[in-house]
Amino acid sequence: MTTHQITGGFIGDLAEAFAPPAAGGCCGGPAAASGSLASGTTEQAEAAATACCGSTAAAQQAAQAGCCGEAPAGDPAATGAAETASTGCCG
Amino acid sequence: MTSTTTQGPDRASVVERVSAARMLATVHELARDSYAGRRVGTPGGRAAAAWLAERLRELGGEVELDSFPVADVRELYATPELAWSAGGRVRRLRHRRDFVEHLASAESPHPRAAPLAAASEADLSGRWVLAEAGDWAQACERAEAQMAAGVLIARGTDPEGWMPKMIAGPAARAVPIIALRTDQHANLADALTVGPVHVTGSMPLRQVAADGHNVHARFPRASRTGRAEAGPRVLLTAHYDGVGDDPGVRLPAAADNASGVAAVLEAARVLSVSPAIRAELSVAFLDAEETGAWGSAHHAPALPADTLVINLDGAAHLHQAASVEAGGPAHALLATLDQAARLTGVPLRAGAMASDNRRYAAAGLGAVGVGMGMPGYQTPAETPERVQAGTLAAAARLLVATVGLLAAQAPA
Repeated sequence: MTTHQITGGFIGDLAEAFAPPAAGGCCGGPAAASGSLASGTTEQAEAAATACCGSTAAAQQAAQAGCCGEAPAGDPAATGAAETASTGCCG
Repeated sequence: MTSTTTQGPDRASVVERVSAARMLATVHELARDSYAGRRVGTPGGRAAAAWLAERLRELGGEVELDSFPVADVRELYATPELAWSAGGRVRRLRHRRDFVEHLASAESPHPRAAPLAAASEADLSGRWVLAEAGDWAQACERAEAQMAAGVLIARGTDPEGWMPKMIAGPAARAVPIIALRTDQHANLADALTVGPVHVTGSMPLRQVAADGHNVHARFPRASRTGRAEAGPRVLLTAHYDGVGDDPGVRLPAAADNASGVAAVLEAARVLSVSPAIRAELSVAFLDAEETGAWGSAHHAPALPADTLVINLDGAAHLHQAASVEAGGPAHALLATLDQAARLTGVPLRAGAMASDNRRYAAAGLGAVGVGMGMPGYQTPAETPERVQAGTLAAAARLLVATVGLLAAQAPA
């Protein structure tokens, strides 16, 4: 990796980190969809967090939507596992 | 902090004290056979917690182990079997290459042999059901209602052909569910159009309760300077748990997240011997992230509201840029991280970091999650040899520089 000073720092808008693009809509989609965690309520932030990592109901929804390694509906390439790998979620 | 410590050259010299060799040694240690993949509630997980606690004590930290209950951990207690036959030929499939456990599967310790049916067929009784992508839940409902033998669904692989292991997921169904690699699923569908297909499969997967153990360490300023000092309250976190070995197969969990632990531990080491950096530093090595981030969920509510959290999940292979997600009142923290990244030459970009940082943000704390790659994610290929020294060094430098800048920016 490069450690030259010029190459470091944020690429793009810093504020995007508050609503980062979800990888394939998988595990993190709820957080992205809810907008900025900073501007939301605590309840919204909790919902966003548990939508990925804690709620079994939400996990089931996520699985049906193509999360947690499932083949997304209509996607014969079935790259769900790779998407999950990129987000590090779903357990 | 004295006035001289805010100067760039001093900070740069502190940043350069990180040791990639030491971090690699930590990664190799946590990936050892004796830790067995560090799944929550296992002897290997507890051994890893004890080892980390000892390292933090060596750094002068005030260490506590904090226990909490974890429910519904998926435990694969034997290697699943799956074979199918058609036209007189038997194909035996390989676990984690050709098929994998579905986390909503019912426990099925012994192989069930039964004819295969397409999910569209009317009679599913006593048969394995080949479900189409996207309708597995509906197929399960029909399979349960008709007492089917089980359900087979399609799933992708990682770029190296592995099917990663997970240990948390939706509620268990009443039928065994097996996820087949997409092309294997297609092979079965093709065979079913030609003639009868028989499937034999087991799924020795159960749900267990466990105790998680977070490892916390505080590094009070008084222990280094002889007097209490104020400073920004900074918490560095990384989860140390893994998904655990498969029966007879190692999953070393080197990248996810021995690498992150190594970088946080090294940052703590450097900061603990840098008295000029005036910060109230704490470290948390968290358990049960892989089961739903329960360690951070347990920890977050106990923290003061002004705690700034930096969570590192993966520091094994930096490609183009580290992924960063921010939550809670983290604007200033994020700006400081950006500044530190410029100083240390680490490129950053917005990216979903669905990890412990979300629990801290959900508790109202300013939290950022940083990820620098996980080669072999949750597969047997996640070995310590794939963890790059340069990425570890970049991660640790970024953490040290961020804490240094936060300390420098704090009012005297």
